[in-house]
Amino acid sequence: MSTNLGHHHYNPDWLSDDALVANFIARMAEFNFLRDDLARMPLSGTVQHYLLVGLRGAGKTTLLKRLAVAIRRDVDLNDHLIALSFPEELYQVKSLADFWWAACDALADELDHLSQVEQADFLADEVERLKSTTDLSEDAGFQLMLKTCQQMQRRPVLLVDNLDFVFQRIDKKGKKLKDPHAPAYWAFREQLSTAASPIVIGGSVRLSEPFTDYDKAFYDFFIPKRLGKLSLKEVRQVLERLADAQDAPEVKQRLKERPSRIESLFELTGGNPRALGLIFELLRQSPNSRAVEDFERLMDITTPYYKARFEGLSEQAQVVMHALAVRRPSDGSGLRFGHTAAETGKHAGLPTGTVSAQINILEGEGLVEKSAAHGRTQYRIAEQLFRLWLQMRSNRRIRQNVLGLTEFLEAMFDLEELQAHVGDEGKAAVLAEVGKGLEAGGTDRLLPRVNEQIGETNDFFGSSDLSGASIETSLLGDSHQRTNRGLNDEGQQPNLHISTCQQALNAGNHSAVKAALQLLFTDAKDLTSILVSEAFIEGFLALLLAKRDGANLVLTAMRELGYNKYARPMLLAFEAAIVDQPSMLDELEPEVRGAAKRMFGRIVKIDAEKGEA
Amino acid sequence: MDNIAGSPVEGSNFYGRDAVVEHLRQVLDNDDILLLGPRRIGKTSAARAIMAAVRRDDWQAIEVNVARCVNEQDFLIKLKSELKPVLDTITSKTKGAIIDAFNATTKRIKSIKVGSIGVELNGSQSEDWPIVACDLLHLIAQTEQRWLIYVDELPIMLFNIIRNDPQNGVQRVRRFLDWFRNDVRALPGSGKVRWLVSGSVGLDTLVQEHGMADTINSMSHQGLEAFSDEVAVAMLGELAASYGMALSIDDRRKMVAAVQWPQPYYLQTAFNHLRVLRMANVKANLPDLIEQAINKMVQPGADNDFHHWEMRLSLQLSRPDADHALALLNLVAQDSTGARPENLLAALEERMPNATPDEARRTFIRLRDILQRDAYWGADGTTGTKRYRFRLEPLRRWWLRRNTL
Repeated sequence: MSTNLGHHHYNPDWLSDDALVANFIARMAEFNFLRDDLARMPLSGTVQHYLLVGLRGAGKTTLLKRLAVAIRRDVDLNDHLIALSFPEELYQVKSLADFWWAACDALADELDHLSQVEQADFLADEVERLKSTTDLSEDAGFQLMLKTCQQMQRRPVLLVDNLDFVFQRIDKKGKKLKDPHAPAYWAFREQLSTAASPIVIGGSVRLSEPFTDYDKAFYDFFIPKRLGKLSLKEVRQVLERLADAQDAPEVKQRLKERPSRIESLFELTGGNPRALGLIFELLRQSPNSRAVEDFERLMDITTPYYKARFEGLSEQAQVVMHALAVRRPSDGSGLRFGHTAAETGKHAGLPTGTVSAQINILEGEGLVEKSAAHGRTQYRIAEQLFRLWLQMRSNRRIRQNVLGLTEFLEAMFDLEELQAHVGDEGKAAVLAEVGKGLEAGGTDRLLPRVNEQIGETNDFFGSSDLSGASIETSLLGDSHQRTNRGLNDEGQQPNLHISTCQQALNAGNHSAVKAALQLLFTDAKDLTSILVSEAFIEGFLALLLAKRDGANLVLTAMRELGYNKYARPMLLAFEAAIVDQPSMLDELEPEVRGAAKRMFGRIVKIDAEKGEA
Repeated sequence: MDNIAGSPVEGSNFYGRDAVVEHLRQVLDNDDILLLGPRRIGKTSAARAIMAAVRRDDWQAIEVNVARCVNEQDFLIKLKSELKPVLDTITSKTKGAIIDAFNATTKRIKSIKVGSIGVELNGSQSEDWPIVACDLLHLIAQTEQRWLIYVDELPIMLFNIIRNDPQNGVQRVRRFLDWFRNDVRALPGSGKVRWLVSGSVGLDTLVQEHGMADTINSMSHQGLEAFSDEVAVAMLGELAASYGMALSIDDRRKMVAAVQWPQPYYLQTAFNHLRVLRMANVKANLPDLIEQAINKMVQPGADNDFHHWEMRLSLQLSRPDADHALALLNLVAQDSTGARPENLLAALEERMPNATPDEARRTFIRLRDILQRDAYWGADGTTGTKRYRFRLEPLRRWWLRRNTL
């Protein structure tokens, strides 16, 4: 993370060492672990190589850069190590020999960085001289790099971002390497297996075959360090530190007062450090906006990045990616990992074989992930934000689904947040409404109601929420009574519709069930708030589980009526509860998984955190 | 001692196998060694320790990793490149003549025929590679010292030859192994050169499948056993002390019991997980973290998980055999104490309704031996009755979890 986040979200390499160190907040545990390990590694002797594995934006590049700075600055590291920081892309590499020439370039770069200009120039000249000789051995670059480091009494630490990319290019003269048995892998492994070999800390979007398959060169050779989703706690810490570093107290205050906004964005962005930098910018620019607005702007500012990546794919790969992003199962079932190759092909109008071939390539690029845990292998886009971006760039209906999910998350977290504050569902429901009203319509009409019916507003809202209030008492009337049941200010109607639905179910009148749900859908001004309310979840859905047929009927009707657009996590949780397969929730896309699990916990009345009844 | 899991280790990081090294060192006095075993059990580390041991006895020792070689010519180039720096240091009276002759082989190697069966890449002047190879070896046998040539990853090279020459590859592999068994041994002074050949990827399966088991029988077959519990506990103690971790003897025993097959790689992996957890939870109770560290090893889908153990079955066995093996392992995974052979045989008989009892029995014995050789399971008589149980307890737990809804 950087102080220059606005400029360097995608290029941590351009940061100064000081800026990098000052703002390196996420991934601190991983950094400390690797730094300490490096300090122990000898000038000569056996060493452990590591591989950082994570999606794009997970922080691999920044962590590698931070390690390079540590090797440069920390006495217990720079007394025996020297960092060779490779550029993120090594387009010039078309063989293992080229990789070692690139290592020489990185070494010259580092020498230059350390103000050892003479040695840097000498090395650069030596590279040129050797490259121009005939009958050059394949490992000439490797030997030159080792020799130079040995003369300096330093062991090279190769910090190689996109090691998987390098692996694809170290043979076959620059064409992508398809053969995981390639001799170049074994040659590379041999070079890394001696007492004098360089230490490698690599980055990769995935663990590909050469790393994992039993008969391949690097099986169990690297210790992988998975850079996964940041926890919510870490996200808060990062944002708070950024707020401190950039002197933005209003952002810090906002984080404290309205955590639901951050929680919603956290679920949507998958705790991705790069997205976090962007979110901070959004928070700073518009401290009072809502998650759905933040998300739209996030998608907007990442458009050039994702567009470039998408357009870099072949046409067929684009079609497959698009299908994977937007396809919805025709049978309405939602408890699944993704889509089979055949389903994707049908949606995209491509033969299954073509789709499979493209998916193989996309999987190799780390863009698609798969699961064979339940029947035929299913695929989905691995990067959560990339998938959501594609959905947002699709037609209006699909875009609305994404925005609907954002609103659902915010409503759900609003409610939880307020429940945590007041410990009373009735008050919480009022406050949820108030909170949204403050965001949407200002404080004027809602402030008095809080004062009158719940207590001191300062207990719940920050000063920035409550400026310029005037009273519109006419709105207050009987709204508390209504919202106390978890409903919005649309009057008794939603509750009546739920009651009607329940009665129709008891009477076995299926068409009336659907009609009641239809009315609920059309009458409610704020359907999302109703669908996360205690009245609906605990007071209606949970009770339906006693009769699975009725529950199924309601689930089907809600899907047919379009509830999915407003409350997909709730529907998925309800489905998992009906079929009694909570483990299927683990298969869902990350952006809905957490919310669906929370909903499931409420529907079946278990503590979702502990998984206890 | 350092926490290293994956790379070969040397010096003080090579732990607990001094007696094994001494034993193998003695074997080399009279025999060549074939050191086979699953990956990550420490073959390369042991071989390097043996090299260090023979050097102390004034032998010359070289390591020739042939995994990158795709044909016999590559093998010779690699052998020569490893020999060269050592020959440069010898003090023999005939050094000059040896070096001259040695240097002269370069041109011959470059012009050899790659493949003895009709593959002639370099024109009519080329020689058969075994002749050049024997001349090369004969040269080093003329030095005064004894030699150890450690050939690592030989099976990979042999599979490369087969993969790159589908028509004649198997015959070339046979010729290579015959050269090794016959031609090399027939060289004058061959007793001065000892070979230590190692590999992990199915050499035994390869030679059995192609009817050439005889070609490797002349070597002394050796393996590497797991540590005893005492050695494993002591090793964890060394590691813990080295990283300033207060790991009590009970904690260490708990870790060893959880691994159950205490090969150093798995102990090091478990310890690495423990270190990561410890760093993130400084105040946590160590025994709890040990539990979590072992759980990290058995999570399906985790990095470096055990899926390759399952994949290996289909790589190395025919489809029906792989399915049978899978079914037997599923059965054995049900209980940490394993299953009785009678029950396993009965399960196999059910899977083979058209086979005679004798056929089923023979199939069981064959699969039993493969699974034992490849370290999936081992025979255990500690409960009074013979049972086959998973050697590596985290693998059993992974296997069980993978098959549990």
